[in-house]
Formats: sequence, structure tokens, C-alpha cells
Amino acid sequence: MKISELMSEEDILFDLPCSDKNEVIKALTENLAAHGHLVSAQECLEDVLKREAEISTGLVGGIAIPHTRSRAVKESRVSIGRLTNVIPWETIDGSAVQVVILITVPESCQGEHLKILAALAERLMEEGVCEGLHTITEKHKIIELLEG
Amino acid sequence: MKFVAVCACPAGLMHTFMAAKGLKKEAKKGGDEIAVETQSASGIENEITPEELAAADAVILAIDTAISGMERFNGKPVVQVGTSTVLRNAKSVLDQARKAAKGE
Repeated sequence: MKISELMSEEDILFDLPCSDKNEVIKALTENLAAHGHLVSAQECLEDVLKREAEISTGLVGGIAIPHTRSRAVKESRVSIGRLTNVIPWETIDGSAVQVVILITVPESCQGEHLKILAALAERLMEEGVCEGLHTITEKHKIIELLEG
Repeated sequence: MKFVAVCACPAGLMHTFMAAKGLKKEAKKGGDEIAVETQSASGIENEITPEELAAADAVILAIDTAISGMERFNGKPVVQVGTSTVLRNAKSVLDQARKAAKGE
């Protein structure tokens, strides 16, 4: 299985005019709900923020990967929001964040989907991947980049 | 040198695997051998074998949450950090483990 089974172009939002992490996670969860991937957008948002409060998911190079394994999620999904401006986020390298990868999986998620996410996590550690998430303008190429 | 490591994070979806990858990349770069166990939403994978543990010069724990099997490491030099420390600077973690292995 591949990452393209967990994301399609409709899960990628460019030019989001959000000014903080709550706004961007809200925009992404509402987009997921609109496509029928959630049981409850509000509950999913709360669960993501709860996880975020435990340890910030800000990485390096202006990327953050908020995520949750929640009963508010119907189907596993990876969605991406790219912002018009950088926003404050507690990151490993102190950078502000412009690309947010939201990972939402149901509580019952296991097996193949978790393996895809593990592969995605490893992919994010490879050279050039985080840079590409900032610069690529075609959505299908973002999916190809994450697929490796 | 030879190391064993355990990675774990609260949701067990992402940081565990990023840290595991970071440790393996850095160990390869430094010419060290490392066996990395992950404790994640998928359960325990690549569990450290008794042979790997016996041969290890030091243990690296890159964890943000409690893990199972801590007692295995009694008597071994252990370096414990958070997963984000590995993502920030994996080399420093391996360096710490090398020092711990030498009893420094």
C-alpha cells in the first residue's frame, strides 16, 4: 500500500490565510469532514489539539505534523495545508511553520495504514522532502514526493 | 560500536519512526551498528533480541512516553533523550552513547 491510498488532491489545501495553529487544524479538519472522512470535525480538532499539547509536533524547516488516533475519525487520512504566511509553532529548530501535514486515523486503525504512516515519517527524514513541500505547485507532485 | 535503541512517542504514529530513521542514518554515517526497536501504535516491532542486547556497548532510549521492558537494560549504559533531540541532532545522541559506552 502507498500514501496515495491515504491522500488525494482534495486533501491538499494551498494558500490558507490562517494565523495560528488552531485555525489551520480547523480548516483541515473541516475539509476532511466535508469529504466524509470524520465522525465529528469538532471532536477530531479537540483530539489533535490535545495531542499537540502533550508535545508539539513542529519539526524542522517550517513543517509541523499534528496528528491523532481518534474515535472522531472515520477513515485514515493525510492532509496538507500550506499557508500564505508563516505562523508561530513550537518547532525543533525554532522555525515558524508554513506547511502543516495533518494525520488523522481512527482508533481502530492498524496494520497497513500504520505502516504507510511509518513510511511517511521516514520519508520526511530524507533530504529535500521538506523543501519540496514548500515549493511544489502541483498537488499530484506533492503526493508523488511523499510516496518516494 | 554496537548499540540498541528503543523509540516511542505518545500517539505512536510519527515521531517514533522519524527518530528510528534518524538514529539508523546517523549510526550508518558513524560506522556503528544499531538495532532499533519501535514501540508504537503498531505495537512492538523489531524487538531487540537477547543477542543484540548482550553485544550492545550502550542503550539509546529516544522516548517521550513510558516504554515496556525497561528492566532489560539494567546494568547497561543507557542514554535517554526525547525523540525531538534525535530529530534536532542525532549525532549528539550517538556521541553521548559512545561516551556512555566508554564509561565517560
